[in-house]
Amino acid sequence: MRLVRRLLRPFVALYERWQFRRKVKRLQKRDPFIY
Amino acid sequence: MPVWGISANEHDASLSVVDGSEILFASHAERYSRKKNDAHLHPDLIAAARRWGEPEQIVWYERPLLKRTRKLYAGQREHVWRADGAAYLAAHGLHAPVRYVGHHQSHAAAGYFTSPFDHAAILVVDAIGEWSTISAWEGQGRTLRQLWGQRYPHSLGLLYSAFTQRIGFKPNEEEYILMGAAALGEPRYVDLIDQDFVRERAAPDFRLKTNVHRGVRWWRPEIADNWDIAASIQAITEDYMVGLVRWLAGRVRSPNLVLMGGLALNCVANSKIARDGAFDRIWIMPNPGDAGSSLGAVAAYTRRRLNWTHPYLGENIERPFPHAEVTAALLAGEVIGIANGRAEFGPRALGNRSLIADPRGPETKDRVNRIKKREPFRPFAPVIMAEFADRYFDMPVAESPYMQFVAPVKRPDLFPAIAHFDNTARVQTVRREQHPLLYELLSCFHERTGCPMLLNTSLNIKGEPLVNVWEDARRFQALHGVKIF
Repeated sequence: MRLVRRLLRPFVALYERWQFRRKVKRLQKRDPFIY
Repeated sequence: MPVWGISANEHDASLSVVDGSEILFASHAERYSRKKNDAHLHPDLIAAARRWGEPEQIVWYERPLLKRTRKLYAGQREHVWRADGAAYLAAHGLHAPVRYVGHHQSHAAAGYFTSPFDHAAILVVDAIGEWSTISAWEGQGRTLRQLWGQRYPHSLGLLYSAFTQRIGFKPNEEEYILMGAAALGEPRYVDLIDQDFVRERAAPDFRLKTNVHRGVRWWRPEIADNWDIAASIQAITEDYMVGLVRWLAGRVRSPNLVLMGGLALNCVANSKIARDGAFDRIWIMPNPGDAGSSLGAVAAYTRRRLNWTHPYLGENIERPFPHAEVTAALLAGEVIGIANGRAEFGPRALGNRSLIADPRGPETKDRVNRIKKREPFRPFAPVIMAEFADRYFDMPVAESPYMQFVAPVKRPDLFPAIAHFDNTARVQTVRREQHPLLYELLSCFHERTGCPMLLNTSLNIKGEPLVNVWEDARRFQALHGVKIF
């Protein structure tokens, strides 16, 4: 199990990054341009 | 016949009138409309400029068509079809022929052609031009040559403004408050901001991971210590700016640097750059943001050196100045206003539209803050006779006549009103030939007290533009109980 987790770690990091970007894009659309 | 330069339709509209090398008039629309950072030309501003004659030519400070392509890309569709350039001017009753110059070209020209240098490296850093966000130039003789540039959405200025909004201030207006707030915090979030936003910031490159044009209010709501956020974004800015200047020093064989764009108002970063010593001399035009580009547009078009002697280029108030009476009021501990001579072109009050007070004693800061209705943490600037500056401050430059650098105060305990939390002050030095009236007042105060400096802050309250004409001064006097001379 530990080995599987270790192997999956980079993919989980990628997934989290992707989720973060999706969240940012969603949140950004709510706000007006500052310039 | 004069040439007019105009910067408008975005923020901080301004108008400059130039005849050959002489700057006849330059002022901001906000001073006439009484709306802070007013984006649009005001009829009274146009009428004031017309006193110098009808324009032979108008130069617009950027290229509207190119800007439209960026706005289309950014998603600002509602801006794309609005009147800009010649159509905007026609709607304001201005029908002279219009020429266009680039946004960063206007900034670079405003700096270089008002500087005392014949050869200089020029750095322009702001939020966004048409597409440009950061650019490096070389100025030699009458030629300006762009060496390098960074394009939207990779923008240090936008990131700084986005964080200004994140900590609760108004973006595109209150960035100076973030700079002041940075002194109260620790830069604990530099790595986190780098991780979330910055792809590359090794000079000259500056690349962001995400477009911050809509701000970053969403960023990590669990982090609530705004002072530390402010300190972190300020640290990132200083670090990148110092690196960029070092990089430019390796590209241009000149001892002279010209800094322009909104980021050149960051006097803490300016001081770091000066102390780093990559260049021997630094010139920052006292109005380095977009408002100064009205003058820059004319300079970029004519490619002529402008005869820059002082920033007092706006509306004139001609009144006698009673030195003895003012000195007596200051000695009695009063806060007094000065509205005399031509208004400053630029955001800083440099003695013609100023509130002044005795900088000694512990109560002055609170008293002036109460009048100005602003945050209690914010510092005030000192104005000092140039020959005494080194005795009271550890100056990063020989002289600072336009309040563009901060310097550690040698005795902050004696001058608490002008020392910030980190014991620095944004110093204005004055020589007699630069401002005879202010120098004379400082001399009188020095003779009576042994103190060669005064507290100097802008004659306005928070959120309002500077006083412009005598009518504004009388209103200020009546509303806030401050005697104005």
